[in-house]
This record gives sequence, structure tokens and C-alpha cells, in this order.
Amino acid sequence: MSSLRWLLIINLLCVSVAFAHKKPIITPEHVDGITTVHAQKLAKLMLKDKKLIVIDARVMKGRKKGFIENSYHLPDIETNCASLQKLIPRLNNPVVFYCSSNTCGRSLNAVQIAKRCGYSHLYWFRGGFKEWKSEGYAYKK
Amino acid sequence: MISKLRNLSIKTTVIVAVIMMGTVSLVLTFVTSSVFSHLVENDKNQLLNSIVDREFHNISKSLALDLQDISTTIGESVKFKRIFQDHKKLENLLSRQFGRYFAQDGLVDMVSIAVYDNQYKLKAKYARDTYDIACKDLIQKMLTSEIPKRQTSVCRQEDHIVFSSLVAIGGLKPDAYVQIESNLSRVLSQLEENIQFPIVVQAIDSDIVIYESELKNNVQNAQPVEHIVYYDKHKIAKLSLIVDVYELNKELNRKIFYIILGTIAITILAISMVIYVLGHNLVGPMRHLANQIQKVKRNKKCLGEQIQVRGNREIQELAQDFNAMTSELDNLYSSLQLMALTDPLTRLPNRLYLHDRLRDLIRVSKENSFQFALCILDLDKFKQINDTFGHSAGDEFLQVFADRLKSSIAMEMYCLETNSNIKTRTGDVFAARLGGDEFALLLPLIPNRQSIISLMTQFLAHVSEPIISEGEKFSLVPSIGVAIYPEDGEDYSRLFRCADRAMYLAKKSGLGVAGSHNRGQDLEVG
Repeated sequence: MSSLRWLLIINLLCVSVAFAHKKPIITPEHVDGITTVHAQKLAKLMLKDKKLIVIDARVMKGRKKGFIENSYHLPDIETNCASLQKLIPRLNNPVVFYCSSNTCGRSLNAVQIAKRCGYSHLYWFRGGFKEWKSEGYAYKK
Repeated sequence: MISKLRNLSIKTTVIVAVIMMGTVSLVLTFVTSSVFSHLVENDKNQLLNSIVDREFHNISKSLALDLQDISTTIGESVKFKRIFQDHKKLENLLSRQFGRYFAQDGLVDMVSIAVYDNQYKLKAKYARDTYDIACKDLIQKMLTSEIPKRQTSVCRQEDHIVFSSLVAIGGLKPDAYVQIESNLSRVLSQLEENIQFPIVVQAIDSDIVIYESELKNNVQNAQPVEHIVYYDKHKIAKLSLIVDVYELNKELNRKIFYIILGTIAITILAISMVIYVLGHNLVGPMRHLANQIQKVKRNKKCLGEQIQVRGNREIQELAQDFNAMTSELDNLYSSLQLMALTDPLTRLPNRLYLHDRLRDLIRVSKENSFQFALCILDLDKFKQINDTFGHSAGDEFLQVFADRLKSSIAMEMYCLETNSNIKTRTGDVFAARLGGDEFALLLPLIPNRQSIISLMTQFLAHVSEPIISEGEKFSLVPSIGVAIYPEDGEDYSRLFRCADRAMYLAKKSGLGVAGSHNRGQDLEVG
């Protein structure tokens, strides 16, 4: 009976993994209290607002493929109020978070942590590095 | 043509019309089939073209990303930044990088690489063989761009098409620009692999073949589908898809064959149904009517015969009208016949009718070796009645005499039958008024001359009884001349002449009956 229960659990896990693999989670287009931006808007913001801090929420594996110039590397797993405070002391400073693409949840996770920490001027570059590269904007390696 | 059709029967006309309709439907089927075939081919070509466009767009985008990646890798390298101002060293670096990247797998088939400073001034370049930088408009495009970003273009250089990419190095405020050009042949090869059709690519403004598939000659029933390839809204090449149309045409022809077969079957079915329905409702009843008209034409006795037809409403109305008309004609014909063959005063047959009847009787008697008697009656002293009592009284007397003649002769013939055991056809006894006070009788199947003379003598007694008119008695006594067929004559005129002479003899000899032989010699007086 016990073995049968384990078999059922493993089976369910396999099915859920297979399902998750086939249908990647698409992040929502908008999040309350956070401004979603696209590549062109971000490029304009970067040129216009010198105070804008760009945070790359990917882990190192992703960042090695290339990154947006002048962006800070702070993976979402390391993002908390303390790490953010260290990087962005002022809560009203404009900040933009990005990760790999619109199927990547790291930037969303990070921006929501920032919101909880009290940051008021938050941007979320939902398309991430994939959109940046696809649009043809320069990046660093 | 139309006048010829008018002479055809309804059935033939209907069949011709249905066959013509069938032919028209067949022609329409052929036309529809060819339009259908054409539409299918158009749809297929459009589909193929849209697939080609989509695939080309995807592959060229991949190539653009690959070239941007190479450009960024070269431009962001530490060495690149260090030697950027040294033209010679930069050229050496480009030549090494070219050697590193041009032969790699994938879509990139690098033919040239060039570096510009942030003022778009050429710092160094390296190109394979005789190649040079083909797309010189990219710098202009970059200048017009609001934010520096990758610019791409497709240009022709001699017999090649190259894909060119200009990438900014150093971020949104670039320090340098790297332009890499790649031969499009690998892209076309990939395109061919993706769409699974051999392709031939030609320059847009000449017949120079830029790319030709090795698999082209493997297609047996090749039909090229022409397509213009666009990049960034500019025509870049003429692409011909070498499509094997054998299976498609086979399937189309099979479908067309079934459609035509179906049309023929439906046409034949329609012809059969039309022929059946029209034959039953129109042609059959019309023929029935025509036959009846022919029958009436041949035999007037058929006038008045009613016919029953089952057909269309119009045909039934026509039949009803025909029935009404034939009844009316029958009545008219009967009236005319009565007027032509009867004496209006006495209602007895007239001389004309007698002649016809006599001819018929001669023919029948000759065929069957019968004998019959012709008796001519002339009233004696009838003129005195007219003179004394007037013509109307004379007419009245004549009517009374005619009635007596009819009743007496029937009775006398009956007596003759019972006495002599000879069956006479009483119905064939015939009395006629020849004119004025002259009458005639035809007595068929008489046994002999003597019996007819004695019959006439008895008859004379009956008809001579006095007639009472206005309180006065008058007797109408006829003189009767008898002629026997064939003894007294074998034809009409001789027989008539003989009976006439016998009547005069009877009158002369003193009011009685006289018979005569054909030679007019021996007369018997009753």
C-alpha cells in the first residue's frame, strides 16, 4: 500500500514536470504599482534619466550570455531589503529590473520584493535581455 | 435552324433541348473545374509564398542575431579596445577574427568585416577574395535612428547577395560600430531545408542565378512557383520554388473526372425523367388527340366521339374543348345531312338519298345475288286537290299520304315475311319522295315479281282510303310502277327508267299497279 502511494506521487510529479516543460509560464503583462516597460522605452529612459538603476535579476549563467550596459547584477534569490538598500539607498530612486525574457519570473520576483521594501519608483522590463537583443540594442559581454 | 426545329416532334424537340441543357451543364462543369483547379493552384502558391516569407524572415532574424553576437564579442573584447586607435593592429585583429568566424557552422558565411569609430569613420576592414563592403547605406540608417541599434540590410554584390549588419559597440552611446556582411547562400540553403522544396534564386534586376538547388533535377514534374523575396520592404531576389505537381494534378484530375461523370449521370437522369414526364403528360395525350382527329377525318361517323386524356392542365383543357367541338360538329353534320337528304314537308328521304341507297342496294344485291324491287308511285288527280283546296291543303294531304306510306309498307312487308317464309330486312325497306306527288319505294329481298305485285295491290288498298279534311272526303290513289333487279335492269338508270314506264302504264291503264321486264315488253297489270 505504501509503495503504491509512492508510485502515485512519483507519477504525479512526472506529469507535472512534463506539463511544466511543455507550457512555460508567461509572466503577467502588468503588475499593480509597477510600470512595465519595453526595450525602446527602457533605452529612452536610460538616455534621459541618469539616476535610473538597472538591475539584472538573472543568476550568473544567464548574465554570461550578455547584459545591458551599466546594469547591476543582483539575482532575485539574493534580493532582499538589505541588499537593495545597499545598492539603492533612496526609496524614491527609479529602478528597473530585468531577467532573460517574458517567461522568466526572476525580475518579477525581484521587483515585487523591492515594492514590499518600500521602493516607489519601480519599472519592470518584462521582455528582458531577449527583447533587448532582438530589438538590436547594444549590450555588453 | 429554328425553322428546322419547328418541324420536329415535341418529343424530339424536348430531347434536343434537354441534350443542349446537358451540354451546357457539361461545358459549365469543365469551366468550373478549370476555375477550381486554377484557384487551388493559386491558393497553393499563395500558401507556399507566405511560408517562404515567414521562413525567410525567421532565418534572416537568426542571422542578424548571430552577426550581432559576433560583432559584440569582437567589439567588447579588451584587445579590441586597446588597439582601437592603431589601424594596422586593428586590421590584423579583424583578419584573425574573420578567420575564426567565417567558416563556422550555422547561417554565417562571413565575406567582410569593417570597424567604424563613433563618428562613422572607417577604422579598418577585412574582406574575403574580391569582396568589399556592399551595403553602404547602413551608416545612413544608423544616423537617422533615434537610439543607436542594430541596422541590417540585404545588398547584391556581383553574383552574390549579402546580408549586412551594423552593430553599435559600447552601449547606448557607442564608442564604435562593427559591420559584418555574410553571404546569403547559407540562409537560402536553410530556407530550402525548412520548406522542403528545391529553390532557384535569381537577382531581381538580371538573370544572374544566385542560388540553385542541387535537388532541382530530381523533380520530374517540376512547376516553378515564382516569388519575389522582400527584406525590409525592398525587393531582394526572385525565388522559384520547384514544386512537384504530379500528385496534385493527379488528385485534381481525379476530382474533375468524378465531377464530370456525376454531371453526365445527372444529365442522363434528367433527360430520362423529362422524357418520361413529358411523354406521359404532354406527348402521349397530344398523340391521342391527333389520332382522334385523323380518325374523324377518315370517318365522319366518328364525329361526336368523346376522348379521355390524362395530362397537364392545358392538355386536359384542350381535350375538353376538342370534345365540345366534336359534339357540336356532329350535331351540325347530322343537321346538314338531314337537310340534304330529307324532304322537309313529308320527312321522307329525298331523291338524292334514294339514289345513294339504290346504288348501295345494287352493289349488295350483286355481291349476294339478291333481287329487290323499285316501285315508283304517282298520285292521280293531285292537281285537282291543289286547284280546289289550295297548296297548303295539298301539302297536308301529301303529309298524310307519306305517313300512310310508311306505316303501310312496314305492315305489308311483315305480311310478306309471314306468308312466304322469306326474311326481309324490314329496316331496309325504303320510302322516298321524289318531288311533287311522286314517291318511290325500295323493297329488298323479294321472292318474285308476282308476290311484289300482289303486295303492291294490297298496299294500294290501304293508302287509297279516303282522307277527311274540313268535313269532306277525298281519296288519294297512286299509280305504282314496279321494276325488279336484276331482271328489269342491272344499273340505276335502267331500273329507274323501267319503273317509271311501268308507273305510266299503270296510270294509263286505269289506276293500279304495273310491273315491267327490263326490256319493257311484257307488262303485268295488277
